[in-house]
Amino acid sequence: MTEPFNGNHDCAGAAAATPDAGSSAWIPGNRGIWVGITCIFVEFGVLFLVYFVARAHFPDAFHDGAERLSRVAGTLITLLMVSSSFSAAASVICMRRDERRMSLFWLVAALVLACGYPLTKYLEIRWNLAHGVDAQAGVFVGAYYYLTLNHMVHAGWGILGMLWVLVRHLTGAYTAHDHGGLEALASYWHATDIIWLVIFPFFYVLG
Amino acid sequence: MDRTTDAPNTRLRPLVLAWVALVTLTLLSALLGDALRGAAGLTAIVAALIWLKAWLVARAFLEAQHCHVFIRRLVFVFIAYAPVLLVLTDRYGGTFAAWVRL
Repeated sequence: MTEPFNGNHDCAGAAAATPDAGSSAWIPGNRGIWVGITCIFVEFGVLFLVYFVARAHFPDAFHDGAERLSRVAGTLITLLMVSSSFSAAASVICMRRDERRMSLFWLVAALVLACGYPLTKYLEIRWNLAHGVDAQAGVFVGAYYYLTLNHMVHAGWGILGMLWVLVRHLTGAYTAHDHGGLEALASYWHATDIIWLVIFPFFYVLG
Repeated sequence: MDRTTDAPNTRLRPLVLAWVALVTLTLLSALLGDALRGAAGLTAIVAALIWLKAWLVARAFLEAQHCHVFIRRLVFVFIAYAPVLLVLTDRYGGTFAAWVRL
């Protein structure tokens, strides 16, 4: 069985992490991680559909909903996610250039920024509960909790993956020509980032 | 070596530019929520911002444009899916609700 963050086992070619120019068969990381990312996109595609059904049925609840949430928390999580995603991408770029120490630096930065997400979410939920935004607070808040908490579970898997990749990176498992595990982790994290970029305006911006 | 055309990137500069754009667009989104609350065009603007931010991540970080055709289609269809449904729900929400009665 392929372990998604372990290496480049399933890549299209031995040097799939740095494919030839013009190659149209490049698979960042490995096939296993892309099966997972496809499943997550399908899962959130269905969840977004449920959000739109609820929004179509209860437009007034969704019109007033954003006012009930902490936009500061939503904006901070977004900034943490895009910055962590940027750092993960920078870690891959540095590895491609055979700059191992810089790659490690950016991976640690990605991990630290990523850990800010559950911390911010915890503080946000405390703020919510203090302001009456609980599971009984209506359809908008229900949709908000099921989508954002579901996303945080996926982010939690990404953080665990980052820890695993960091351990492997520290033990010298990746090289400039074989760093499929690092690339797989970064791909998963970018996909998680893209999903959050959709969720953020759904609840914190649109009124 | 310039690998900006067909092969995955090896330079940090495009990543930094994308990150600055993402931070700027995020702060802009938050401000728009206050400034245009209830305005008719807010949903369309937000949908455009969702697509643009997700496209930036897909291009600059994920490098989806260099990937296998399945991955490329998967990513670019997904980032268009929510903005399109958002605009359609805003415009035809009543019809949509009638189709899918709870």
